[in-house]
Amino acid sequence: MSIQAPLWPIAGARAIIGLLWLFSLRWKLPPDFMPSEGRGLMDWLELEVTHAAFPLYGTLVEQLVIPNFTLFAWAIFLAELIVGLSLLTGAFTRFGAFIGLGLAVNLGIGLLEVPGEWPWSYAMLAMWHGLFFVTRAGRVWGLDALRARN
Amino acid sequence: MDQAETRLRQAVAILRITLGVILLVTWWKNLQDGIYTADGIVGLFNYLFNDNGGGPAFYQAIINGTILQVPGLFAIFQLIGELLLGLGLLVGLFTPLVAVGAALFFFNLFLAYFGGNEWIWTYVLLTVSALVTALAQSGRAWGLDSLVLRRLGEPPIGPIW
Repeated sequence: MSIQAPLWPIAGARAIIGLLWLFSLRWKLPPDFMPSEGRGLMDWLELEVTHAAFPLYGTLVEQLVIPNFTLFAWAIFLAELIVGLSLLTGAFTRFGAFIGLGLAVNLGIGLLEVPGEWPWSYAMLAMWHGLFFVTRAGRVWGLDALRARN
Repeated sequence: MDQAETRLRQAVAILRITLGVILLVTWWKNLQDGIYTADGIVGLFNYLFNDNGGGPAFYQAIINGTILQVPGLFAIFQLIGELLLGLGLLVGLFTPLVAVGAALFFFNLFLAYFGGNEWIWTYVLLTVSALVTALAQSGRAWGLDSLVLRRLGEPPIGPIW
C-alpha cells in the first residue's frame, strides 16, 4: 500500500506564497509606503478603522498604529520582506511561516468587514503558513535542506 | 507511515476540507443569489468583464463563443459541478480527480478576474491549494479514499484515490 505523501507540491506552494508576499510589497514601498497609483498602506489602515470587525482592533489601529505610521510601516514592510524571502528560498522556513501566520491572521482580522474583501483568502493564507510550519516545508527545494546537510 | 508523513497528510487534509467548505458555502450563497440561472450566469460575466474589468481578451472571446451562447445549460452544469466538487473535497472521495477539477475551476476564476479590481492572489491560492490536494492524494487521510484504498488497494489506472 503506497502511502507516501510527496513534499514537493508543498515546496512549490511555499515558493509561490513567498512570491505573493514579495509582490504585495509593491504598494507599500518606503519611504512613503504609497504606490504611484491606487491604495497604499495608510489607505488600508484607515479602511481597517472605518470597517473594523472588532472595535478594539479598530481603536488600536487608530490610536497606536496610525499616529506612529512610519515605525509600523517599516515593521510591516520588513516583516513581509522577510517572510517572502524565507518562503521563496526555503530558508528558516518555520520562522518565516510563523511570522507569516501572524501577518495573515492580522490581515484577516483587520480586513474582515472591509467591503470587497473575501475573508476566506486570509483564512487560506493563514492555513498555508500553518502547513509550512508543521511540515517544515524548507526540507525540499529549500535552503533548509542544505543547512541540514551541513 | 512515520510521524512526519502522517502530519503532512493530515495538514493537507485540513486544506482539502477547507476547500470543500469554501466551495459549498459559495455554492449555497450563489444558489440563493440566483447565479445558477441563465440570467444569473449572463449577469455574472457582465460584472466580471465590464464592471470588474477583468478577463484577458482571448478568455472573453472563449466565454462569449461558448458559455454565453447557452447560459441556461451552463447554469445547470455549474450548479451540479460546484456541488460535486465541494462534496468530493469535503469527504475526500476520488480526491485527485475532484481536486484537479477544482483546480481547473479555480484557474478559470483566475482568468476571469485577471486584470480586474480584485486581489488576484486569492485565485492563485485556491488553484495551488487544489493542485496540492490532488498531488498529495489527500483523501487518504481523514477521507473516504482511505476506505477505498483499504478495500480495493492501489487504483489500477492512475491516481484516482
